Amino acid sequence: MGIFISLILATIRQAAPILITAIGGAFSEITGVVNIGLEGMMLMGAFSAAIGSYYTGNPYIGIISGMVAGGLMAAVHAVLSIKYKGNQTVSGVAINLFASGFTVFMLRVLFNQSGNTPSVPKTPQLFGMSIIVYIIYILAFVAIFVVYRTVIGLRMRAVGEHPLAADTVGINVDKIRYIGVILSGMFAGLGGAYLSIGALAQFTKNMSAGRGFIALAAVVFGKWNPKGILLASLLFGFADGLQTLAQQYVKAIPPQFIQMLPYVLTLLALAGVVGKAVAPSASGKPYDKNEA
Amino acid sequence: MKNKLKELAIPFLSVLIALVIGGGVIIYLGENPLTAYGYLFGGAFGSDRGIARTMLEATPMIFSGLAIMFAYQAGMFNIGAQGQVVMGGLAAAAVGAFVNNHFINNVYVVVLIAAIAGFLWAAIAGYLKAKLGVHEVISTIMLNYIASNFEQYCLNYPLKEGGPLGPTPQTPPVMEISRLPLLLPDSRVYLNVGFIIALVAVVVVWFIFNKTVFGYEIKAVGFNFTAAENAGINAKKILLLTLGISGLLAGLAGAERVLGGVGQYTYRQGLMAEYGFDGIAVALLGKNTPIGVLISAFLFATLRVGGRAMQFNTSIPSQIIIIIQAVIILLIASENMLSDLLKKFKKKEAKA
Repeated sequence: MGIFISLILATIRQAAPILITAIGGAFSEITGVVNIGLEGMMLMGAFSAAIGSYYTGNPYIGIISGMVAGGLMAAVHAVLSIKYKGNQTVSGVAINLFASGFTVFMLRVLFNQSGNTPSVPKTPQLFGMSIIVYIIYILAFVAIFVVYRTVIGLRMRAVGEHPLAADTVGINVDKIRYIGVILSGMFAGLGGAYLSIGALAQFTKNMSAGRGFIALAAVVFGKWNPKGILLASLLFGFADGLQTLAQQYVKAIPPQFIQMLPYVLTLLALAGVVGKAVAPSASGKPYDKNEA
Repeated sequence: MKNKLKELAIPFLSVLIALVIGGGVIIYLGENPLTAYGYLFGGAFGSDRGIARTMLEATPMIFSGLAIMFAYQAGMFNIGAQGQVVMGGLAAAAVGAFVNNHFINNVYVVVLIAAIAGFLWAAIAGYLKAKLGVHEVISTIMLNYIASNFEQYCLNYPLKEGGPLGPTPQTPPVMEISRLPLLLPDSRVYLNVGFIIALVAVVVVWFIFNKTVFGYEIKAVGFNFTAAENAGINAKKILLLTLGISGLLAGLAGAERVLGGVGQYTYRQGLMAEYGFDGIAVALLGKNTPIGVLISAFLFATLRVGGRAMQFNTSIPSQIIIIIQAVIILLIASENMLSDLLKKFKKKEAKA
């Protein structure tokens, strides 16, 4: 029984950073911009949250720093993708590379270390979980409401499905896309902040460890639909939680195989849902009024 | 001719701008960028040994850069080269260190086996793409993580030197007969025949894309999948094969790292660094042509080798090289921005 409850709690906790990053990714994708850079935005968020918390002693400022850093990275991606109509996949890859280099570079410059920051003030806990977890779930439900029940959500989806039609009825396609992409970075930054000042009290090198990519898979698996994304994130959180628990209790299977679990599951999930999953039709395509 | 010049101008400009931005960071850290870059280029080119090191560092990047460009020609983005490098390296280590049969552990057979391992690992993503429509970017990313866990498993259990209870997670050294001959046996730089194989690979890939029907079909599929299919090309088969060959090239990078002596002929933790990801940068800067890959692999190897010399002589962490690389890729992703810049510059010139 005790194991069962700790598995449920672990699922909720581990799903949180994936969920919020995936909701962000969906915001970017439903407005028509592919965001491979979620992993890097998450990593920058984790780093900045730790730095913000370290220098101010206030973990709430850490949360905000994480979101701002993620948003700034996303802004770069947005300008390249929307204004200069660059290759969105390539730009995302560059952002991931930048984040992995920049965070280690700054660790050396600021702390003369290459692996981690000193310990930083952590966010308060509520019923055994960081308050960031609660913020994340509340924000996720607000996001679901916004996309499905409000005018701005309708516009976002319109811009991703048929930018020309949206433009014709007077929606500012570029502006909506900037909002979608920058929000995705801020959400990924929050997911990162959970890792460094929610779950732990320090930033460690490459601590996002593929969660940004798993979030990307959750978007596809959840079929670009917030409710689906919620379920997909919980599934990955479950795999992650199971993995952590199994490492404590199952000694017969080498831990490396247990650690593979979330990735194998993602792969199987993607292979299983294909055919039913259809991306927003304008996703990945730059929109040019003059060419349309 | 004018177009060719323009094509060269954008990568060149990207590198230049990235170096200037890097210089800004160096100034901010209180060092002189000219001195720092002096150490960088001096370290990479200043001596015979430096040049040999740069050639050695470029070798896996040539392979992985070719791997990325090969898939790119068919319109696919193989983020999984890193996993394929790992699988190639593990296969090389497993056969080279454990199989005591002179027909099988002959170096060229081992290289072939590593290539096949890379091929098969990439072919999983190729199969998922061709048969089930799974986007290769996501599937290869997952395969990277699976490969890296598998690597840790192999180094800690079945391939571990001294058995699972051995002292460090690494394989025993591969046997003499499985080692790639050294090009400069007297130096302490392990420049080996892998470098020659890499050059041959550049030529072979160039030949495939410029002189064969297969290369033409790959490009047709990359240009327009549906049109290629309608023209009678088995596009799904091409996707699978292309990704497989891409993995084969990446697998060779892994083989060279193990069999070439860089890690004292053992596969140990961290040996494969980020060579698969470096390939992405190399292919993009090289404009996805074999010659471009060769040139940009040298550039990145220069930065890498020189970056270490710079870190040794100044207070600048060598990670600045990764930041410079990322800026280069960002600039290339937004080549429209650069061509806008070039245009504005030309207009100003015309006015003046």
